[in-house]
Formats: sequence, C-alpha cells, structure tokens
Amino acid sequence: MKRLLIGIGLAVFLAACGTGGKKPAAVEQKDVFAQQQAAQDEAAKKRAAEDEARKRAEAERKAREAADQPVVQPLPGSSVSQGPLGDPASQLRDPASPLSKRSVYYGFDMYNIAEEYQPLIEAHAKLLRENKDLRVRVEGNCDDRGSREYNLALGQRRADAVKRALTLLGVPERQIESVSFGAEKPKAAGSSEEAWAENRRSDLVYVGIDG
Amino acid sequence: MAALAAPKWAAAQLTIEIIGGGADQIPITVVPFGDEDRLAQPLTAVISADLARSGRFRMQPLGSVRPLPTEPSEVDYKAWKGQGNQTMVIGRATERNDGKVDVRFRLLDTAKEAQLLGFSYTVAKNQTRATAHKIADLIYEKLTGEPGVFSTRIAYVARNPNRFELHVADADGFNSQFILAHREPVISPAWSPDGGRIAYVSFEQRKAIVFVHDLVAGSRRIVANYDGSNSAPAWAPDGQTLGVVLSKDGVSQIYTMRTDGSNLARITNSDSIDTEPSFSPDGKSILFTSDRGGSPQIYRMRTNGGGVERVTFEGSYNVTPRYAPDGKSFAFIQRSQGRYSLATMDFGSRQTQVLTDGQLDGSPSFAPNGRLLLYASIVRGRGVLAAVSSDGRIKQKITASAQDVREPAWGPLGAGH
Repeated sequence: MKRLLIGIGLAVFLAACGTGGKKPAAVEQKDVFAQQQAAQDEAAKKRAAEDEARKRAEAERKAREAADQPVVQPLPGSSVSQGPLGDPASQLRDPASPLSKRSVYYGFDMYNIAEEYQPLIEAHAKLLRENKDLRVRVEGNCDDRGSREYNLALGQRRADAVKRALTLLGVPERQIESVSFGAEKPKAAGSSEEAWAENRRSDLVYVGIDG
Repeated sequence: MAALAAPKWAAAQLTIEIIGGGADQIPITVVPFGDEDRLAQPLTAVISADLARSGRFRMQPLGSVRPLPTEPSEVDYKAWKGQGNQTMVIGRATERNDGKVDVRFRLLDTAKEAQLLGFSYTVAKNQTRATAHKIADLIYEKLTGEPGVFSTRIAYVARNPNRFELHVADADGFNSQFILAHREPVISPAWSPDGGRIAYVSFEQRKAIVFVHDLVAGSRRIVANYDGSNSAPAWAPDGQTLGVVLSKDGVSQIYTMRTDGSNLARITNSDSIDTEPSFSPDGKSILFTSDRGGSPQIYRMRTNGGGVERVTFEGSYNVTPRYAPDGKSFAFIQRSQGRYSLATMDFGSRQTQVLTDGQLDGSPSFAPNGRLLLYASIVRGRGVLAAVSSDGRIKQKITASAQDVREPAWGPLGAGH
C-alpha cells in the first residue's frame, strides 16, 4: 500500500513539474498532498470493495463445499503459489485436514516428538515444501514448574526439534523460525495436571495467516 | 509500548513484615526523635521498622522514663538501665529556616553510659527517609559488624491483567516505580554491580531478547537479539562483562560479551542445556545449570569455560544457582518429591541446607550483605515474594498491592562500601 501511495505521489509530482510554467512550491506541495489524499481514499474504497468480494467468495465457497463440489479459490494480493488442493490458508483452516492441527504435546521434561505426531509433522512439511513463500514460526512452551530460565531453554529445545524434523523432510530452513516462550505465555491457567499437560506444547504458527 | 521512569499513578507497593526472628537478638530501644512531628517524612518509625525487619534486634519498649531524651545530656542512664533498656538510639530532626532539615542521632550504651556512635546531617526535606535508612545502616553495622542493607533497592516484576511491569523499590518496599511496562512478559532482571543499570529479558518482540537499561538516563539498548532465545543475563563483578544464554548455535549455551553487546564469546560447549550463569564475587568462576549429566544440576567452571566441575549430586533437579556475596556458598532451587524449595550449599563442607518448605519457590536473590535471601513463591495460584535469612531462622512475608509479583532481584550496596 505504501509503495502505491509513494508511486502516485511521485507520478503527480512529476506531472506537476511537467506542466509548463513553474507553480510556487507551496501550491505544488498542496496539489501533491491533495492527490495523495485522493489516492488514499481511493485505496480505502478499493480495500473495502476487496473485503466485500472476499466475504462473498467465502460464503460462496462454503455453500459449494456443502454441495460437495471442488473448490478453487485465489488468495487475493498474495504471492503464495497455488498448491494442488487450493491455497494454504484454506487448507490450514480445513477441519478435515491434518493441517488444522498445529500443536505437538510433550511429557514432563521431554522434548522429543512422539510417534503420534509424525503425520502432523509430515503434513505441515508438505505444505511448506509446496509453498515456497510460506513461513512458519514454531513456538515452544513449558508448564510453569521449576526455573523460568531452564524452562525457556527447554521450550527452545522443543521448538528446535520440530524445526529440525521439518528440515529433515525437505523444508528449507529459511521458511522456519523457532522461538521459545518458556513458561511465560501459558495457554491453560492453574496448577493442575491438565493445565500442565496443555502447556507442554509446541505450536506451528503461520506468518500472515495465524498471526 | 515500553514506558520509562516517572509513572503517572501510584505504583505497586510492597509491605514487608517479619514473621520469624533470629537467635541472639540484640536488644535496642529507639526513642522518638525530637521535633520530627513537623516533618512530612519523620525518621523514628523508619529506623525502628528497618531494625525490627532485619530480625537481628529485639525492640525494647520505652517504659515510663520521662522526659524522652533527644541529647546525651538529657539521658538519665540509671533510670533507663533500671528499666532494662540496654542500647538506645536518640536524636532530633529539626526543620531550618532555609527549608532544610538538621538531623542528628546518637547510639548509646546504657551499661557503659557511653556513646557508641553519633552523626549529624543537613538534608533536603525529601531526603529524611533516605537519611533514616542511612542511620539504620550505621546502627546495624556498629552492632553486628556487617554492612546494613536498608539503603539498597530491589527490582521485581509485577503482573496486572494484561500488563507486566518491571519495578524498582526501596528495600523496605516503599517508593516503588516501574521502569518498563508492556503487555508481553519480562523476566530475569539483573542489577549491575554499581547499581546504575539493570539487564533483563523482554518478550516485547515476541521472543526472548536481552536489554540493558540505564536507570539514571532512563534509556536502554538491546545487547543480545540473535536467532532463537537470548536470556539469563548475569553481570561479572567488574561491571564490564555480561554472561548470557543464547540458543543461536543449536542449543542453549553460555556466552560472555561486553556490556554493550560486543565481543561475543562462547564459553560452554555441550550438546545440552547450559544456562543460569552466576559469577563469583572474585570474578574467576561461574556457577551454572546444565543437564549434560542427564538431569538439570549445578556446575562450576572458570570464567573462560575451563575446569567444569559438577557441584550438586542429590536429587534429579537442582537449578538457579546464585553465588553468595562472600563467595563461600551458593543458594539454589532444588526439587524434592515434586516440591521446589530454596536451599544453600557451603563450598567448604559441600553440605546442603534447605531453607524453605515451599511447594513452588524460585528465583533466589541474595541481599548484598549475604544475610538475607529474597525469593519468589506461588501461593493459591498467585505470585508472591518472601525473604529468609541464610541460616533459615528469620522469615519475612511480603505483601504486594499488585495481583502477582515475581522475579525479585536485590540491588547492590551504595558507593562507599
């Protein structure tokens, strides 16, 4: 959006410079500013129209899904390439797909990826391989018992292990960032076995889609 | 957004009370200072509270001897001795015409009928509280032989809904101000040896990054923002070097750097988690947590990374080592039967003493005279702070107005120690 505005501003400025006689600088500035305002308004209107279009398309898509027809839908304004099943965003949101699951859970003090999560790792690796511009952030977490700093390191180990598993399945490293929140951002509150188990977790967060 | 000094509203205060006294308490009587009722910040209550809170003194009642003396010439030693009062503090705090305050005090021994200490000060009106702390320090040092910590400051993290604040307060919990506030967590505050800077780990960029914050200038800089997590800052005693933990090379390892972030050097070399560095007071050794032996334990190494030696052998979880100020022992957190409690180990005897019977105790921080340990605990789901003496006898309960407090760090002694 910024580039668009700067481009328009520049174009207007150049146009102003090219119209024969010299206008005073202040008036030139005002012209450019007014033009930029107009462009901004235009862009906002365009965005609103795009939003509307997207909402309509989403509704249509849902209706078609219900009618059990194949759905092909472009992702507006994105350079993410189209995979065989459709765009990554809708694949990730499809509750029937293993991709809708984003979390690996761990036993106490553990950081290895249990067998049961292999299909999940494989599904996400495939998505990332087929969409070169897609980026994922792996966030490692711990339950709140024990040293905060040791938990930060353990969370990092958990995230790094998931990153390594993805790269071993052919995902380029540059598509994956691994960070740790340690015990600092628990999903489940309280000190119960259930809460602790929920917090011993790595999440796959897709940049630009999940946040 | 990060916020710097001077908060608009009254910041969280801490109330610190003693709930268990030490052995061999020194009897002392603090006589109300003359003239101080006219001051906005009277001194007597502050001095009494400091001495009482230390657990080293038995505060004696005033009894019935009148009038209450403010000058040595006014002291009827026989009468006070007769009541059983032994060591006495007397003084005056008088406001002058120019708005400043003249403070003078004496520490008297009724048995010897002699003065042990006496000082006078001229201070600004808003400095009388600080002067009271200074007087308490002098009394404490005279009678125990150790430096007092009443003029020191503490840092801690207060969590209110959706906001984490890094606070700095006086050691008695007053004058609490936040130096940082953000909706993302902040952990591991660490004071520079000269008390002018605090290093900490902030998640404001959605990952762990180490900052060094200048308390006087109110400015800060990022000193470690490498790939992965950057955390556990620890100051070398010369104030020139920081130990940090970085995961950028594959697993959390300990590095040193200059305090501006330059000159990065890796000093541990394992495939395991190495973290929580703590420098010895002579600057030659570092205690740290490592799980290279299969479970988190405490190790010691030279500052260049050589001579790694395991130090804890009991139990499967010993973490968060903190060198005592005299270098002869260290505090740490041990897990035993699922409970996390505070313990110390003496380097000479290699004996462990458990100081608390907490369930979820953590983050120990020594007072700079080595006498007390500030630490964090969780009670009924809420973060609280507490303190215990290094021999386990004196206990302090700390109540905060904030919803949840954690990550305490005791600041250093002021200049002149």
